[in-house]
Amino acid sequence: MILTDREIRTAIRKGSIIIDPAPSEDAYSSTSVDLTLDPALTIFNEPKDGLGIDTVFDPMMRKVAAEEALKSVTKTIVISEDGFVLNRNKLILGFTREYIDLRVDTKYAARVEGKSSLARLGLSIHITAPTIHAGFDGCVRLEIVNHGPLPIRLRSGMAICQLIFEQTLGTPDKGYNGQFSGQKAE
Amino acid sequence: MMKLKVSDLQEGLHHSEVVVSIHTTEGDEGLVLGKRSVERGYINVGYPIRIKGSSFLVELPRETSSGKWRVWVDKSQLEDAPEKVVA
Repeated sequence: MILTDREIRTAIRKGSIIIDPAPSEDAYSSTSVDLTLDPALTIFNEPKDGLGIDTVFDPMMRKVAAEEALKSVTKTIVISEDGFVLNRNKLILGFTREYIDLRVDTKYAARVEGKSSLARLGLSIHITAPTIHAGFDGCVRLEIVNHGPLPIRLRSGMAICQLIFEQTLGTPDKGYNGQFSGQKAE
Repeated sequence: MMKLKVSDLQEGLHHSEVVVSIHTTEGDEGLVLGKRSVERGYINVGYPIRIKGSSFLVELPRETSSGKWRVWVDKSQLEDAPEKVVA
């Protein structure tokens, strides 16, 4: 079941869902709440042609520090007053300004989705990974791509995505205390 | 609820994130977390999914760098772990 605006606000009041800073009243729709773009963006360095260097990500190499590898091919910038112009067919990583906490012992999960007003321009904000699992906490990382015909100007604090909250059927194992109830290590 | 020990804290790509290492029974795994998730070098992992001897199957708050949600860890890595399964 998808939570309505009223149910989202109730869950926030009860502390089952945390959104910090709290969304403004006009950030809600009937079944979603908009989140805004943090000023910090991660930009991929342009590959240098003609050097005979072949750089490839191998996500299955567990011993490689994936985040460290990502850092080595990117830089962090802060969006200026003039905004950041995202050119066609470019991927950058962004974050929501809001911190989200879906408490592990509650029955909520969420999906981060794009906004139709931005999708019409060709902007996507995730790449096949929209699920925010029960127990997640943090700012939501966004994989932002401009698929459109023109560059798109991104501004700090703009409504960049929407969260749709769902109630799970039952409590996941990690939030269920049944078989281990009341037992602690020595 | 149990807490899992994390180590090698490093700054993440974003100021809200931290990169940690967790010690599983199959080796170390890298994990990106929200900074607020880490308290005194531990993260909340809820209740155990399975227990085999001194090994506990736990679910992490986010995927590891190699894509795992659930990992087996030794009891020594956990705080407030239950002693045994109730029959």
